[in-house]
Amino acid sequence: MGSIWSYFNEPNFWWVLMGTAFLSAVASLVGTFTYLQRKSLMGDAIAHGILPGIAGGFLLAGEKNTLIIMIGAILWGILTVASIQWITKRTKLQPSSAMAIVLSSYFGLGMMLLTVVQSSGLPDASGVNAFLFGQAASILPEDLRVYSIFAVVVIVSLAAIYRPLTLLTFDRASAESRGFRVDQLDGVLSVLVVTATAIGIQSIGLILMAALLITPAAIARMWNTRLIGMLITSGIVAAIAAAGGTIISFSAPSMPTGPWIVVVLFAFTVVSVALSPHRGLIHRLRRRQNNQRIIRKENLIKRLYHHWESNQSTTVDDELLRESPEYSSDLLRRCAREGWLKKQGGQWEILPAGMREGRRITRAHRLWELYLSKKLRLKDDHVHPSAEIMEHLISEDIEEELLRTLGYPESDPHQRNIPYES
Amino acid sequence: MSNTPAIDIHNLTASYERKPVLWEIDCQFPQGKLVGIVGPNGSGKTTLLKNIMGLMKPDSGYVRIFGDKLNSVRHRVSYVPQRETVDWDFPADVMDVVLMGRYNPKKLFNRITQEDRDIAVEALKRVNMLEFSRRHISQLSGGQQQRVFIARSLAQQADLYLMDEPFVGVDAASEDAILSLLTEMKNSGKTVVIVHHDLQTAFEYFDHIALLNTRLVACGPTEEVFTSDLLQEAYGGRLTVLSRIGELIAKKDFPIREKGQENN
Ligand SMILES: Nc1ncnc2c1ncn2[C@@H]1O[C@H](COP(=O)(O)OP(=O)(O)O)[C@@H](O)[C@H]1O
Ligand SMILES: [Mg+2]
Repeated sequence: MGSIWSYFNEPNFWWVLMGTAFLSAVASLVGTFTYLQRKSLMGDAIAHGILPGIAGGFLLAGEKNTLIIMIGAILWGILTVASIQWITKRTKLQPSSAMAIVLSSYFGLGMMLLTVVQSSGLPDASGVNAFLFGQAASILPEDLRVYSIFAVVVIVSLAAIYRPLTLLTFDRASAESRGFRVDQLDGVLSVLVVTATAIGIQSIGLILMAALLITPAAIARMWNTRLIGMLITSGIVAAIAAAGGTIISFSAPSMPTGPWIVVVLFAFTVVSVALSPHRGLIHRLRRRQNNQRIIRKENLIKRLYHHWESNQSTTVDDELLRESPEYSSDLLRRCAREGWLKKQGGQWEILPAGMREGRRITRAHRLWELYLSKKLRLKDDHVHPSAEIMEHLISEDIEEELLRTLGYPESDPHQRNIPYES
Repeated sequence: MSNTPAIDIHNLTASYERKPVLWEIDCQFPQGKLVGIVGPNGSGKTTLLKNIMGLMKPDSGYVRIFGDKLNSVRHRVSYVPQRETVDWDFPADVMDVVLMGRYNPKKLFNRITQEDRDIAVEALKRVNMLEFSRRHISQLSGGQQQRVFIARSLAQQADLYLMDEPFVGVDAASEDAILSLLTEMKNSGKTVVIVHHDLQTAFEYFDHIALLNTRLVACGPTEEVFTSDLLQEAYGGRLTVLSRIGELIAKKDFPIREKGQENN
C-alpha cells in the first residue's frame, strides 16, 4: 500500500535498527567515563580528527570497505590523541587550545581527502558523505557485522578495566599510589573512545558523534547517584535516540540520521533538566519554596518570642500579629499544627513548644552575631543581616560548636540576653 | 615490631617546574606511632606525602618504607589524599567508595567478593558510618566524607597509613571519632602519619612530629620538638564553623540573604 511505514516489513530495517541502537549504547558507555573525567571536549576532538583516516581508508581500499575504513579511522584517532598530548606537553598551550588546533587541522585535511574521494570515480564514492552526518538506511548487514565486532571488543575491554577505571576517575592520586597503572589506563580509555567513535561513523556521523558520547551520560547523571545505574541509563537513552534516528532515516532516506538522534537526545535533556529528582528545576523550585516556608514560620515564632521578652506575656492580639510582614492565616494555621500556638477568641497563645522554638531561633541568631563580631571582627552593626538567615540554618551540632567556641556566652554584641533552656 | 623505621627519608629535595618546595629533608618515622607532619599552608606537607607515595619524582634523595623500596611494600601502605582533591559529586554511595579500597591493581576483571563486602562493612563500623552506607557521598558533611575516606583506607588492611589533612573542615564529633580511631590503630601496631597544619592540637595528637617549612625545622618525639612556644605564634586559631555553615548553604540551596529584611 506504499505507506512510509512499509519498511517495517523489511528484515534489513530491523537489523539496522537493533544494530545502531547497540552501537550507540556501547559508545555512550565509554562516553560516560569521558564525561566523568571532564574530557568531553576530547571526545569531540577525536570524532572530528578521525576524518582523514576514513577518507584515507576509502582511497586505500579503492571502495567502501568497512573494515579498512574502520581501521583507518581508529589509527588516525590514536594519532589525534597522541598529537594533542604531544602539543600539550611540548608547548605552553592549554589542552583545550591544543585540541582546537588538532581538531580543525585534521578535520580540514579530512575534508580535502574527501573531495579527492568524491572526484575519484571509485564505486560508492558519493556515499562517503554518510560518514559526516550518518545515514542509517545505507548500513548493510555486513557493515553491521564489522561494527559489532569492534563494539564487542570495546565492551569486553571496558569490563576488564571497569573497577580500576572507576577508581582512577574518582581519585587519581589514590589509584596511582596503590600501584594501578594510571598511564596505561588513560591510554586504554583513549583507544576505547576512538573505537567507540569509529563504530558510530555510519549511523550518527562523525560531526555529531561527540553528542552521543556525552549527552546520554549527562542525562543519566541527572537520574542516578551510582555509576552502575548511570551506565545502564545512558546506554538505554543512547539506544532509544539511535532507534528514533534510524526510523526517521528510513522514512526519509534523504535525511541524515545524526541530526535526528541529536534532536531526540535534546528532548531527553530538556525533560531531565526539568524533572530530575535531585538536580531538576522543579525539584529545586520546590525546595526553595520549602525553605521560604520554614523561614516565614520560624520568623513568626521568633517575633512572638520577642513579644514575650518585652511584655512577659504569652498571649498576643490577632490585630498585632497582622502588622508583621509574614502574617498569613495559612502560616498561623501551620504554626498551630506544629503545636506552637493556640487560638483563643481574638488572641493567640504561645504554647511551651512554641516558646522553645522561638528561644532556639533567637539563641541561634544572637550566637551567630556574637561569632561574627568576636571571631571575624565584623562591626556590630553589620552582623544582623547574616544572622537573619543563619538562624534558620544553624543545626544542633553547629549550635553546640558555636557555644563551645564562644564559651557559653551571656549576651550578644547588642547586649541582649542569649536565652538558654533552663 | 622491628626497629626499622616505618618511613626513612634521605636528603630529599623536590620541586615543581624546577622550583624547589622541599629542601634536603632528612628524617625517620618510627613504627607503631602516631606521627604528625606539621607546618603552615604551602610549607610542602602534601608534596612530601606525594614523594613518599611515589606520585612525584624527587630531584635528589630517596625514601625507604619498612626498609624497602615502595614498590615491594606498596600493599602494606595506604594513602588518604586531601578530601578536596576528589569530586564528591561522583556517582557513588558510601559503600561504593569503601569497596574501592578492595580493588586489586594486579587483576583484570576485578570482582568484589563477599569477603570484600564484610571487610568494607567492618571498616564502616569502625568509623561509625555503617548507617550511611547507602547514602550518596555528596550528601555527607565534610567530617563524614573524611570518615568514608578513612574507611576506604582501612579496607586496604595496610600497616602504614598516610593521611593528608584529615581534620580540615571536620566537625567536633568527627574529629573525636577520627582521633580515637587513630589511637586504636596505633595500639594495634599500625603506623599512622598525619599531615596537619594546626600546631596547637598537634601537640596533643601526635607522638612524633616532623615540623616542616620548605626545609625541615625539627623532627623527633613531640616533647622534644615542642621546645619553643614561639612556634605557636606563627599559627592563628581555627574557624571551622565558617566552613561548615558554608557547606550547609550550598547543600540546602539556602539564600545568603533573607528576602525583605526586618529588624530584630
Ligand atoms: N602542582 C603544583 N605545581 C606547582 N606548584 C605547586 C603544585 N602543588 C603545590 N605547589 C606549590 O608548592 C608549595 C607546597 O605545596 P604543598 O605541598 O601543597 O603545601 P602544603 O600541603 O603544606 O599546604 C606551595 O608553594 C605550592 O604553591
Ligand atoms: Mg596540603
